[in-house]
Amino acid sequence: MFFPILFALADAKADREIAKRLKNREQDALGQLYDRYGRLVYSIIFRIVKNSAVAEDLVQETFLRVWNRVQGFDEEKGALGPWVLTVARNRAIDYLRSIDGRMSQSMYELSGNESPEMFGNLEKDMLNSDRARVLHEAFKKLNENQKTVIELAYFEGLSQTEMAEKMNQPLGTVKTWVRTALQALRNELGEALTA
Amino acid sequence: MMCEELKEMYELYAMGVSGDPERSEIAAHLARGCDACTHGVKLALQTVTFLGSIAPMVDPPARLRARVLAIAASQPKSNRFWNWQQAWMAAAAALTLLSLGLWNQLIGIDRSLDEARQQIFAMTESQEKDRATIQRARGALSFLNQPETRLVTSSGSTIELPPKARVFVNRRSGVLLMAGNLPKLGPGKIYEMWLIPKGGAPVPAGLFQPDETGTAMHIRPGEMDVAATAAVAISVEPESGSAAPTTTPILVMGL
Repeated sequence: MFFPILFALADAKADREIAKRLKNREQDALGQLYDRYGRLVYSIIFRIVKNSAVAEDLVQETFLRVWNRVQGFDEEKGALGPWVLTVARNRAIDYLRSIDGRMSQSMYELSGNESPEMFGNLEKDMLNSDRARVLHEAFKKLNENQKTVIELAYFEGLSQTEMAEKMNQPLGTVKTWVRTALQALRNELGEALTA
Repeated sequence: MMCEELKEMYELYAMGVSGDPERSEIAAHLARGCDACTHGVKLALQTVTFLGSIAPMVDPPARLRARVLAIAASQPKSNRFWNWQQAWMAAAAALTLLSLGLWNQLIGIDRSLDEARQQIFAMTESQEKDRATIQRARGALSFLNQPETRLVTSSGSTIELPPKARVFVNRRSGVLLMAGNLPKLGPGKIYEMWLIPKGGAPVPAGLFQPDETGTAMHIRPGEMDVAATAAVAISVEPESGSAAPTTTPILVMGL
């Protein structure tokens, strides 16, 4: 299931070329970008919004945003794939929050984490596709509560307080699940890096 | 707060779900170029990216590529060189206008720009109002479709609301489905809409999940032959969708 993400994220050289051509406003480059990331983008957005028509609109919005903001992206240092996927997730979470009446939170929080500058100097690590495999395996090892909180954060954009309400659990318990889950993922990734 | 106290929140920050005061503190550290937090958040962004691999892979419809490419075709092809060229041309034009004493025309252009700005502002305001109206309509629809909502009759008795749907068809724009009271599905299941041609096999028309209240809005965009379509149906299918219904449709709406 996760191999496509590895292949798509690993070819940094091809991404650099696409980013350069996007900055030159070459329309073919947008097609290439879609061919590399369109399925991943659609899958993530669809998992979040669970509606194919809405997902199509948000995929289009994602690529429009990338097309309009690529001038701020440094293709020599930046990781194009992670940026595109972050923009995609943000669009879907923004949509969820807008229909849930959580819009005021969304614009403030999500705008900072998709700034192209934040994706500089990630390339070396992104080339190590073993990290994605390790993370995927680490996620599978989490217990059900830990998996649930990570999924609620990533696919529903819920804060720890919102998770506690949704799961009908004390906030402290949810915070423990989140902390231990992230710690487990970090530990596995750390071991993979030092191995 | 110190970086050490913030590092456990980097992933939540990267996902946009951290709370205050950590969120504001991390943002402040990043704004002042804190090396430790910048590095930590970048690594967290990477981790978060890989979390996307948890999502089941779903093939997008083939038409989506054309929709995305239409973006580039509809956008201006400006680049830096052209911007500079435009800037020089604008400067030269301004000098020429000045030398010819065409201030009055400039003032006229300025007024036109002001009017244009006001029109844009008015359009933006109008869009905001439309958006608010849509939000209110969604709220009302959501209320009507919540499982706990009961229809109270004039005699005072209440009636449980069964699954229901309304379908709107447009030969140029496709099909809009608005459904309510849809039962929550188990893991690995999804609703699929079908267009059933007269005398033909059902044609897939997209996948959707209702929200927690059982409400769903789903659009199958594109042209459709309304006269040749007998019905629109909804069935429960495996998460990746089916080419033909594998279960008995829960709702069939005849056209």
